[in-house]
Amino acid sequence: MKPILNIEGLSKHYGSLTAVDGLNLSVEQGQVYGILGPNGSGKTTTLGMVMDIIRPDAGTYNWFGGINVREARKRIGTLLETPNFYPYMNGVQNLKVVAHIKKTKSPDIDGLLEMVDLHQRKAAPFHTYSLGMKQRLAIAAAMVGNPDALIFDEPTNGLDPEGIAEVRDLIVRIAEQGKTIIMASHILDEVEKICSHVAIIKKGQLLATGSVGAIMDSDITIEVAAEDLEALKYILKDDDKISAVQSIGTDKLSISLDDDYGTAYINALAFRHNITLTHLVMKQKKLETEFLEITRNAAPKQY
Amino acid sequence: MLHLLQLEWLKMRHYRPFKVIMALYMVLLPLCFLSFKTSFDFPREFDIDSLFIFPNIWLYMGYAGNWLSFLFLGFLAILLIVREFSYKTARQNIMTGMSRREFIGGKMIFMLAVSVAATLYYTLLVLAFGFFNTDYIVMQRVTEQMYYIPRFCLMSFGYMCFAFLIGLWIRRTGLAILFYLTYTIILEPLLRLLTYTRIFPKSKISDYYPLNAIEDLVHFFSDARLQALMSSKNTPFSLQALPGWEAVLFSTFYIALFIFLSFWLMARRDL
Repeated sequence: MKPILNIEGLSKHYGSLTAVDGLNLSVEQGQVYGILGPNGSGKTTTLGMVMDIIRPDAGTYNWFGGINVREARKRIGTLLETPNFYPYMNGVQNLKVVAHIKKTKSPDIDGLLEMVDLHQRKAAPFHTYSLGMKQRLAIAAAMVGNPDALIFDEPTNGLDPEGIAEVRDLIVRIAEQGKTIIMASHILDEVEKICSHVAIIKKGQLLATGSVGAIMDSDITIEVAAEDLEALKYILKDDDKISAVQSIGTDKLSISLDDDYGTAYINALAFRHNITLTHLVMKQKKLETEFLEITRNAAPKQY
Repeated sequence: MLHLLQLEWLKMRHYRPFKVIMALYMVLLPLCFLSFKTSFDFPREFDIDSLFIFPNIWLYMGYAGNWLSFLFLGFLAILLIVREFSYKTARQNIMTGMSRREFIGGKMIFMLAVSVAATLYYTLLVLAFGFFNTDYIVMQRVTEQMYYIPRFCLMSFGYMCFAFLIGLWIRRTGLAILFYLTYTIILEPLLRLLTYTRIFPKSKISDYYPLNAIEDLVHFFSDARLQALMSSKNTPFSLQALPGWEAVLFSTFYIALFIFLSFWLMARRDL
């Protein structure tokens, strides 16, 4: 796998506030890499630093294995925070500016506008566009010059459900072309649906990183019930493979378990203590539970 | 360089304030010039008709342009940079693949192009009005004061560079324009007065302030005949324009400083 982006020890302070704190990340070719974190966790600041619009206080980064950063940026399409265009110019004129900066010879502007479904409004000035249209124009602009990598920062922010679906669909289609995509989001569902890899950050620190599948699978939740729930709870809490036991209502327990072990282990454990389980269900752990859990405890995890 | 100029042109050609400013400049330059005939408070002994013929027309058309360049080209320079921040297109341009240096460099080249265009227009107007008004055309009289052509260009570019730096620093159109006007019309004259009366009494140092140097590149105080009439009146404060070469020298120095500061400010700022 060819490296696309490497970040080492990147930090940024605003006064006493630490926005990004010694962040390490690496993104490889073909990944759809989600940077997941609550609002204000440093996602945009991080992407701003690797795009040279925010100056880091410490740390380094390199693109495509270490080529000149300005040349690198010409091979990257970026949508950071908001779609930024000249409001008095129409869609075509705005894309021409982008193509001129990227020195793209004969850009397929009509094709790109077709792709984002803006072809009919291409002659209208940007300031007349709806937010969804602006966002889609920004995605078209990011695609000018057939870039190797794309950065989408909160691409569905502020859109209505239809707009969200359109933009997500567009990103999935771009990912299918084999482009490397780095996407920042605070919405788990979005990362789960679109991304192949994820880094979870909080207060500028990396909490976990790995493939979306690995993070989803790593800890499993099992629901159990028995006649004597208190006795069951007692032996489960005593077992060192089980990290947490919680009551669900009055008649069930939910337990978190290392993913090397499964329902058979629980069944055997109960059997050894002469407890008959009346209910035993494995629950696939959703990234959401994981995300909330990870962002609560600050110790970094490696999957 | 051409690539950067083309980029600015792509951005500006559809920008209505740009067209309005340039159109107003073109309309107002001959009108301001003609207004000297009626409204200007010249000494009574001064022969006003002599302003409209060669060679004096070079200076007086230029002085009309001095005001217009200060106001219109200055505002244009502020808009040129501030809107890139208000639209957030400055950060987008950088992310798209420009370096900060290219970004500022492109603006500088565009401002130079606008200054050159204004100078060409000024030259054309002088020639047209001059040949129309002068009864006896003597070629030597026509070309005698042509040194005002490069000085006009330097003046226009100087105002733009100063306004641009303020826009880059303040990043708000209204505030930047306010500061630009306040500094030039109120603050610098006050500083000069203070310098002349208190800090370095009666010395020429008060004339070397940046906007004064740029203004004096093309200033009717340079007219020796007028100067002779004016100095007979007892004026409290230096009303002389800097000698041409001093104005050029100091203006060039200040323009270089404004350009350097613009690059420096852009290089160290988050966008």
